[in-house]
Amino acid sequence: MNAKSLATAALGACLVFLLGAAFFFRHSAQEANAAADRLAQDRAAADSGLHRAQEKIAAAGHDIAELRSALSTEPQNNPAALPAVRIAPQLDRRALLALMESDPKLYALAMKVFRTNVAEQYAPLFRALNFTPDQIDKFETLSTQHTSTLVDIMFSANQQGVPLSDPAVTTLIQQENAQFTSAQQALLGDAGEQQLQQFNRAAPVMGVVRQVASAVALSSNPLTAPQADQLAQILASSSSNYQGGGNATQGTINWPAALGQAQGILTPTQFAALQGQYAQTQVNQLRVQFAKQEKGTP
Amino acid sequence: MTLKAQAAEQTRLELLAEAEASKQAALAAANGPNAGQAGAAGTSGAQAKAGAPVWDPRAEGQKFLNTFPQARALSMQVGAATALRIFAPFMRAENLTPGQIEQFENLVASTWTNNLAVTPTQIGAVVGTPTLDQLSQVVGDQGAEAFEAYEQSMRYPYQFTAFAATAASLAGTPLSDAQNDQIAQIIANNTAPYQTVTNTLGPANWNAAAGAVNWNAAIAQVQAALPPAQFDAVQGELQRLQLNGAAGRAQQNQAQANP
Repeated sequence: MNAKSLATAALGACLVFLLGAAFFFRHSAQEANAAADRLAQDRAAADSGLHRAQEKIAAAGHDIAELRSALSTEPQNNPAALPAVRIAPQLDRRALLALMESDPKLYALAMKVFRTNVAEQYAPLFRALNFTPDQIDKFETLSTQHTSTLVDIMFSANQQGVPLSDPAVTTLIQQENAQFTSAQQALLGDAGEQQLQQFNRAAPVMGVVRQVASAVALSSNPLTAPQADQLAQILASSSSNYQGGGNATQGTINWPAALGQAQGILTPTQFAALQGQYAQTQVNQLRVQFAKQEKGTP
Repeated sequence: MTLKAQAAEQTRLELLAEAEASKQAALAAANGPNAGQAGAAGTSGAQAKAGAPVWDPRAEGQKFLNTFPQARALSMQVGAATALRIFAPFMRAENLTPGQIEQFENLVASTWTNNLAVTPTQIGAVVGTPTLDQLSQVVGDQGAEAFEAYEQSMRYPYQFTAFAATAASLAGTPLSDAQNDQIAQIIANNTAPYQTVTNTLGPANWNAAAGAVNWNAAIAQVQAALPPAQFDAVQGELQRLQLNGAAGRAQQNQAQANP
């Protein structure tokens, strides 16, 4: 494992915090590394500027601060490569991390928000598992502490000038992941574990559902919780990836089929909002295509 | 592919999907109509720092529409949805008829589409507000004035409220129109004056607006106004906005300290 890939693993650890996907916490350092590495490959393919920055980093010693600094100047040609942050969607996630590192109050607020995010995101799962308030509290605490620990490891390494590729740091991350995995398994049990995985497979489409809900939130037709559940199910089951046992990613949704089904459960206003979301997806795809065509030739 | 490799691949796909959703959410929230006047709009600092070619976003926007003619109709759909998202309280307050609502949404959407700007990373409108004359034709002179007032003082408070309303709906404890109005007014009452910027596609105005709110006071007042179950549902979104504002302020301070 080279230093670059370990550095991207660190980036993966950041994504853990920022995206709040608890299942991701379960991954070992190697798994996180593999995912982050592939993400980095996509990014490099889409953005030569970032690719040059990565090469520069690799040559310069793979320090996390340098990684963050170099990445922060990237043109962000590939929006998918640079997730905006659900926890604070208007902010660049690297900027947020840097701010957290220098501002304890902000760090504390971010952790508070993260915990609330876990509570919101996994509320349907808690209901399905008939979790008691005590179990919910434990789940949220575990997730938040795990994230906090990973971020602390990254910050500590950065402050001490130790690259994340350092074996000592890698070991710490692996130990933390193992402890979290063990604690979560103990809390959920085997059946709960399976339901968590199933829940996480459908989770990506909740972004679409929230967008639709947000679009009509102040209208006379707000989306109800049962409608949201039904819409999520329609979108997930329309995903070829989900049908194949994978995650219900937006890019794999058969939109015409999903729209056809959704029309039956949504009011005209809500349906227009869903169509708007689909249109937004299409516009964004065209923009990415356009940006590739225009690259260097404006 | 091993199970671990599959998990990693799934993670990657989810990250990409989530990224796309978040990006769109951010842009929809930040770059809806009325982002300011055109010019060298949307050229990001990151773009300039990276030494990338500087785009003329408006020219690129027109080129984009010419290159992909189907984008115009799509943009109109997005614009209508965005208009509903941002201006629903205004439409309700003005008692617009269904016909007026359709006209209003189309007017906003066409204004947005006609002023589309594209950068390597973003797409949005740099001029999103119809003129008062255009508005008057749809909602009358008084309606146009009310729209102007809404734009100046209530647009962001209601956009912030929409996040809370979304959370409440999804938690099964929806807010009433009166409660939405009350929350928006609380946020507006706890907002200090702030400067907006023009010539931008980014979330600067959103961050400035979020950063100008005294969220501790606002959240306390919202808590006093809502039943506990509803407050439990919305407080996470309000805290998220508080974080957004605090981080936006810190980012701005850093930028001013290190120009």
